[in-house]
Amino acid sequence: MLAHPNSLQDAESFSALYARTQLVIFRFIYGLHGGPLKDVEDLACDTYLRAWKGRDRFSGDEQDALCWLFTIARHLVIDAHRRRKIRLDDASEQLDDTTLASTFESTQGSPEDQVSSREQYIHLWHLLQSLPDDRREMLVLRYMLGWQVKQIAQYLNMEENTVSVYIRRSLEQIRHNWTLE
Amino acid sequence: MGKIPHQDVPVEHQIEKMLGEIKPQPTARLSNIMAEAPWVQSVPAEKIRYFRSWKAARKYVWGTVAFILMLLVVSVLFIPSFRAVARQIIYSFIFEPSNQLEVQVTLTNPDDLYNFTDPHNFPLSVQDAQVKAGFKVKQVSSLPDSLRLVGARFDPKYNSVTILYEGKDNQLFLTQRPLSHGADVFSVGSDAQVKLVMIGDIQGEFVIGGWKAISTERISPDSTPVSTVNISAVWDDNLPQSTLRWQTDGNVFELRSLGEGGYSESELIYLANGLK
Repeated sequence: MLAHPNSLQDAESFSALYARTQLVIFRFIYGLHGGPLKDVEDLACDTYLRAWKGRDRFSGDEQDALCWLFTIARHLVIDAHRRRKIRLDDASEQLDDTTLASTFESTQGSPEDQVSSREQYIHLWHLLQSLPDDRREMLVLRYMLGWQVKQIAQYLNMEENTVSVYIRRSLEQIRHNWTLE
Repeated sequence: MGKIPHQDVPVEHQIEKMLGEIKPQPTARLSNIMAEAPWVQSVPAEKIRYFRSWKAARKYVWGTVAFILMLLVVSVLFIPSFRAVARQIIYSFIFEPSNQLEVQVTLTNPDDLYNFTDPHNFPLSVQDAQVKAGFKVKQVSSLPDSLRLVGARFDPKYNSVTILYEGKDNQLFLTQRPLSHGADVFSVGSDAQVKLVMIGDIQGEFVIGGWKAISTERISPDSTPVSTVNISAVWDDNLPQSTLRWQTDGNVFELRSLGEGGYSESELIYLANGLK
């Protein structure tokens, strides 16, 4: 934890922040951006480099720092989407890389079951990426990063109930679209 | 977009579960790039620094508990069979499905359970441990001034040797064993932040935190020689414990730092690079 507000001035504090947050930031970007992996890693690098350059303007504790990094990352993802429209067809290729392999390795059952399960994950990934940015961000925070609704509401400056409703609607939308081509 | 049969449409909580199981990991490429980051270059890599964020002394107690639990988990029989044991050679961390761990362990021998943080449990010299193990045991060559070598311990069950180094408020454990001696397990919570790191040109994994026991319950009668215990634990990223694991030359190595004033990722890598 960062001991004092605005304690990112020195390299050691910033290095500690990076060590503690890099996986969360990577997963956040991956969830928002959708891949491919190389682009996600580049965006993660850019996020921290931008934060390093702007650290003089930061003030707050570790939770504030994490939200600050999320904000930087989100803007970078939006910029990246503007530069290159992501084709949904890429999603299956992204899931073929080693990034998400561990998810499928943990699947139990026969080889046929594992293939079926893998297809479902790929399909889910398609559907997640087809959601509006703000809804996708909520699902990423809630499920991929394990945040509580209250935390998401604070981060997004929204009412808890509103966040809950959006999340429920997004899940319903995924279910509804599951069988649609 | 591929069409999924209607009967396979998951219900809402299944979708939630699937989303929660997506845990992408960065590759070593990211670590390599970030190794050149300006804040890294501003801090001499050779300099041994302490985790200054580990301030709460009480965490040391929890860290000790967690470490003992971890050793217990790898030292005793799992009931039911642990999923991860399916992998015959484990040189990386295994993610649990959640941050909670429920295990039932059977202690058939009093030696199954011992306090790893007690220096008295490291009675051997490194040379004696090497003779017992039958393989070349490496040591930390660039030992910080604040640490002293306490001793070594040989565990015949895993044919492993653990060397304990101790400082004023921290301990460092170096464990090594041949890959050919079957499986061992060190699982981490589903949200543990396992980081791929490079130790020279060898890829390893680094994680901060450990399992914190929240309850233990003996379920077998006290009079029986074999005791069965239910243990519940949760993964805690804030425990003052960090672990670096890697594999080279047919051996698994693990450097574990425990306690306030423990070592950071770069420090453990520095120490790992200096094993001789």
